[in-house]
Amino acid sequence: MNRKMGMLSSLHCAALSSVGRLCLLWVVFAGSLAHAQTGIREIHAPITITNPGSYKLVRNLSHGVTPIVVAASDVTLDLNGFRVVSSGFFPPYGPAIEQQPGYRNLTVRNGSLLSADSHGLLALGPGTVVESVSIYGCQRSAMTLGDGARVIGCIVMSNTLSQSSAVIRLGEGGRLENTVAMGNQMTTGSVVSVGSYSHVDGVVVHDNHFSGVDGVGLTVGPGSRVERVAIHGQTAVAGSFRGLSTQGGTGQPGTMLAAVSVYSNSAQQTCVGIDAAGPATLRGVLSSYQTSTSANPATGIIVRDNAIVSAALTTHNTGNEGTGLRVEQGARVTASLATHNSHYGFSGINGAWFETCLAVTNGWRGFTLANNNRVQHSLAAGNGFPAPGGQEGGFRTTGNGNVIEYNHSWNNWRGVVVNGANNLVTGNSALQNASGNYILSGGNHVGEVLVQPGPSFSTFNPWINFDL
Amino acid sequence: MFALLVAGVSAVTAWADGGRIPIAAHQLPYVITNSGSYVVTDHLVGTSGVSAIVVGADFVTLDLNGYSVTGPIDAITQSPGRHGLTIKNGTLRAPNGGIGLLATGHLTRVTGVRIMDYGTAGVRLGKGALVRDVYIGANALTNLSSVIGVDAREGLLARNVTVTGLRAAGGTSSGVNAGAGSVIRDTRVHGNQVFGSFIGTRGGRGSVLHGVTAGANPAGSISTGLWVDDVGVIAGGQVGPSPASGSSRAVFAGSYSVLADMNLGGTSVGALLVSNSVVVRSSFNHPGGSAITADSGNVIRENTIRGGNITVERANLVAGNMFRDAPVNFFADNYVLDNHFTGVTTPLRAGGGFNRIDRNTSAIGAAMVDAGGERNLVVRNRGPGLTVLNGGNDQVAATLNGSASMTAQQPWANINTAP
Repeated sequence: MNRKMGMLSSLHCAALSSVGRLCLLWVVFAGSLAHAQTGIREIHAPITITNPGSYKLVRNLSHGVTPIVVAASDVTLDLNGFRVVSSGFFPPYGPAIEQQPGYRNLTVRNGSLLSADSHGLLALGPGTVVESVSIYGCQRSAMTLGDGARVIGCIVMSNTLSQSSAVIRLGEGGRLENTVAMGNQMTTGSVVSVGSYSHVDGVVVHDNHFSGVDGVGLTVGPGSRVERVAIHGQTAVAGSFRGLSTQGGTGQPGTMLAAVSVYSNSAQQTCVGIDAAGPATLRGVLSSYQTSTSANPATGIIVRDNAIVSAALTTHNTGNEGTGLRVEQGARVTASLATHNSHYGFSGINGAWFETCLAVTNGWRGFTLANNNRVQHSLAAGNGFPAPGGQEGGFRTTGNGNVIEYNHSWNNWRGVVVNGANNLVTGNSALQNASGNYILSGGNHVGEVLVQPGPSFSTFNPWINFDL
Repeated sequence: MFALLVAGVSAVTAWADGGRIPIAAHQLPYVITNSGSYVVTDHLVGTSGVSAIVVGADFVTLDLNGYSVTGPIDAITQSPGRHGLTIKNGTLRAPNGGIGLLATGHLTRVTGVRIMDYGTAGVRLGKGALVRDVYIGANALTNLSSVIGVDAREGLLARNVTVTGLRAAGGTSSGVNAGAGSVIRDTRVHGNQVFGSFIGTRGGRGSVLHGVTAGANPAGSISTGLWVDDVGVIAGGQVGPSPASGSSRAVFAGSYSVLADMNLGGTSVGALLVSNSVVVRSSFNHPGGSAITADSGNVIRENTIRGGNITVERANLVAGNMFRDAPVNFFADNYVLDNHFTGVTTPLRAGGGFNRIDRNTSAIGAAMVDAGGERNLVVRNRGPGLTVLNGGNDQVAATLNGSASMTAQQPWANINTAP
């Protein structure tokens, strides 16, 4: 056994020959690896693991390069409640734990990691499991993992990343569960980033701060699932911020978001709560109090391509253009609410379908529709106050080819405002709007406006709009 | 540096159980001053000081190893300003009125722990705590005015927590009480009994409560199953009856909240909403009570309501719901669309004006709509014997009798579907 220990220590020295000055220190701990009766090998000192199996720390480890190098597949490393620190007098330091290229299936659990100059855990091989590990004080990432990684019950705090990166990064097909990322400092990048076909379930991203041009709370790849997530209290003092960003595009699968709350984030530039590229499905999501601090747009939710949105709530998103829910291209939005946004409740750029939605007390417009959108069975109330002037109000088209039908508009600055051409306006009702119930430009298709038809009225016109 | 490393090794006083530092009964009160891994090796009962174990270092892991730690007052406390404590696998007791675990630093992890016989709180935690597989049992003293099972600040992540057997004499007590931006899931609060008010699980602003259940928590004043302050998401949970001398509420949601996919029943109020919230795809079963009571600006969509009415004030969108033995009461400026009613006469009751009441259906005869205010728009509703009460100042489409050969000559007409 002692011969084996000596071999492992020699390997570690060989692997770290560029820092040969530290080899003397390894020799001090030669023979520190001992087989326990359980078959779990104990680690007393910095080590390069070259054989598969189970290993367990028996003390805190500290080393100026990389305390634990994993050069084997199928290694389980129980930190046993101890701490592994990469720090010392001769920077740069390596990761606290590093899996060398070409290996897979590393499991690390039950302890804490710190790297004063690098990653807490760098394991790019597939199949890594990280469980009940706390990682702090790192400068490149808390953990950077390959495909198929699972991260469960981890705490990641007070890492200060010196370059664009992610505090937690998983490759494709990962699972991030029951994990908190809090109090990390970054220039740009994402607090958490997971690749395609991943599952993020039960995660808190809280009180992280960005100093560069672009920051993201949680980035997820196409085909992923995100649920039970709270993203709260991030700041980007010099750039833009997105709370949750899903990636994807034409021909790629969508991402599902459910039971997600993105709350009270701020950015000097644009600030977006949820930015969903690709055909995302959003269900029971809330985006509130996103703020741009220097007169840039702030948006609660942006969906871009064939999204399905149900039971979304956006409120108090504030900037020089504060929008609750913005549809860029071809989404269906139902049973959703936009309220107290500084400018627009719902914004359809092209091809949105809003159905049974409610826009209340937004600063400029409840629904603003550019081209080819449809809003149906929806209610707009109290929008456009204090009156900013112009054409603001409950429902407004700014472009062409929109359908506004069977909606109710009450107590807005204006009820239904139709600009552009070839918009279809039928079956709506409006009353008590301060500056007019219907303001309709020529060149549109508008059902007859029937003014206060009274009790027991009859009409054969199916296209009636009601002025009550 | 060599000397420093050697000194570091020798500083570890005793290694046991894989190098972890043992904590035995004779060492109490035990003060941890170095980061590292500690293991309890016996049942510990503190008899002096405030706590049996004081954690005075960052990033300490304390394995209770299946044993219990009983405090003279608190069982375990973390010194102020310390962070990163992990406690696992054992039982904490504070029978003299203390707290099981008092760890107000950031990022505490508590897993596989039972807390029994405590005082004002089972565990009290700082920001970013992670709590999993924790059981909070009965507290020791029943004369306290307020007791909380899990009391945590912002960013709590809690999963699989059970709180039961809590007792209090007055005030407001809670099973789980978390600050802003928390995620609480798969948690059960039941079988607690207080003489004041009780909240099963409460999340601060921006929190997510998912798969959380509550029930059988009787209270001398008000009992509430689930609560979010503001801008919260409550989804996928169940709340059952809790007798209360005041009122029992399944859910209370502050403004700007989402309530989705819930099963609620047996409380006097299903959901009490302040304003500007979304309630969807949920089941309410509250005979004799109120399914939903809300102020203004809410979306109530695709729910099933059995017994108990819905009462809303202004500018609400009530659409696509199924009502059984339950009416909807609304005041003014609402859009009430496409709902279906059975078992109740006059299911659509407008106390004020400016509402749009459109395309609802009822399976029971008699007056379907009471348009109490003025300038309500009542169109395209259908039901046997459909009549509209108090519609003199409203815009009400004529009611036509259905027949065996209906045509679409009056598309806005209300339809009487009586035989």
